[in-house]
Amino acid sequence: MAGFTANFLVYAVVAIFAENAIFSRALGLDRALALVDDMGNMVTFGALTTISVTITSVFTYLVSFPLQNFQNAYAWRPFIFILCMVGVYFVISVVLGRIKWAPIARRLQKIRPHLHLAMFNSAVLGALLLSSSQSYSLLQTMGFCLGSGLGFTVATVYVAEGQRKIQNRSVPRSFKGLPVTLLYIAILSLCIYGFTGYQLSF
Amino acid sequence: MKKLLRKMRARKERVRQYIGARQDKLDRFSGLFSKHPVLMQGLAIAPAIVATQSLKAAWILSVGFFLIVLPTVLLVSWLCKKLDEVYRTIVSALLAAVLFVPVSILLTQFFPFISTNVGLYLPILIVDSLILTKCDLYIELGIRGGRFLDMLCTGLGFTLLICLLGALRELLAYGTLWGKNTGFPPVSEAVAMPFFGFFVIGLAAAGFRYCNNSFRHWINKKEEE
Repeated sequence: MAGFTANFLVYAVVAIFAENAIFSRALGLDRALALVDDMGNMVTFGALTTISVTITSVFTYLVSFPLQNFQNAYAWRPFIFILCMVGVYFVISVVLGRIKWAPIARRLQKIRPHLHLAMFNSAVLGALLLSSSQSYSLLQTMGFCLGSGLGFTVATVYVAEGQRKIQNRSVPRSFKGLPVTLLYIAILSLCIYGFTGYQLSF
Repeated sequence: MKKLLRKMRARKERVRQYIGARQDKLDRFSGLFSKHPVLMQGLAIAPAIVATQSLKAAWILSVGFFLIVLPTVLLVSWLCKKLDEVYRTIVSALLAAVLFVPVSILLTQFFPFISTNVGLYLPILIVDSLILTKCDLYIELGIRGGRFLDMLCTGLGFTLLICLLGALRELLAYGTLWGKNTGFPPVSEAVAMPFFGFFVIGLAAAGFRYCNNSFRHWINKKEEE
């Protein structure tokens, strides 16, 4: 039991820090840049992404078995994973719709408009494809995908906080917005590279 | 000498007035410059930053863009006008995933090690935010004509950037171009790391914005005066 938990946690921690979705692979960066103005929305979006990718990873792990020895697996895998994501989206949507308890139902009504963007984004598909290509076990896959989601959320908060501090500085007009944010992420990415010291597979 | 300078200033003024009068027509080609998908809008940024480690990888991504993203945007914005945003997202993801299958098989015939060259960054185009952004732009703003030209310019802008970036990084990291030795001494393999991509794209975005702002200021200068 302790071994299973340790296995799960190791892959989750690696996915949060050493193989961070945004700093090491730039996955989900376009969505993160669109959200950095609103901390509440950002954390909600990150939580939805984490839940979506963790639940979907179970189904993609199961459907990866028949694809392992298939000649055109690289071509068919994304299509089958998208079908899994569509199925999980509808299940989550129905479950969220059935919750009637007023305090949670009100909160869920605010969250539901973001669910389709949280499910269909490059951070989710990227994490699923990575865990499938690395031939992880079910526990390792779930740990990696959970860590990817959490790492995406943590990275988005870091980027938002950095952008908030940069806004108070005198930045040249041409650098305001996207350019200075990318330079800030570059420095954080360089730190991660210094930490790992090697090229991650993709 | 003074005569030459006067002639040059007069020519410059004529060019400025010519471009100023045709700004609306030039906006159709904005995907190449003022509305560049990566440098100005921050779309399709993951493949541009991480996967452009070589010219070959950049070329594969650009072919994938034209064969997957462009048809998906055009078809979804044409067929799914009445659909809710949620269902439009799902339909666009499914359509792009269906298009990905034959495109990937075709590209594998020319580039057998496609999964090593571009990895997951070609499939990532299926769920890229550029598809939804362009579909929303065409549907909600009611833009009908010029969609194909706009997407073509967006694709060309994306291709030019990633091919330049891929060539530069391959040359600096490995001293090769398209896998062939050029004799150029490699600087450091760290150039192929994501952080270098972030730096270069960030600086290029700043440069683009400076050029765009200067150009707009020059075009509209006399009209304000």
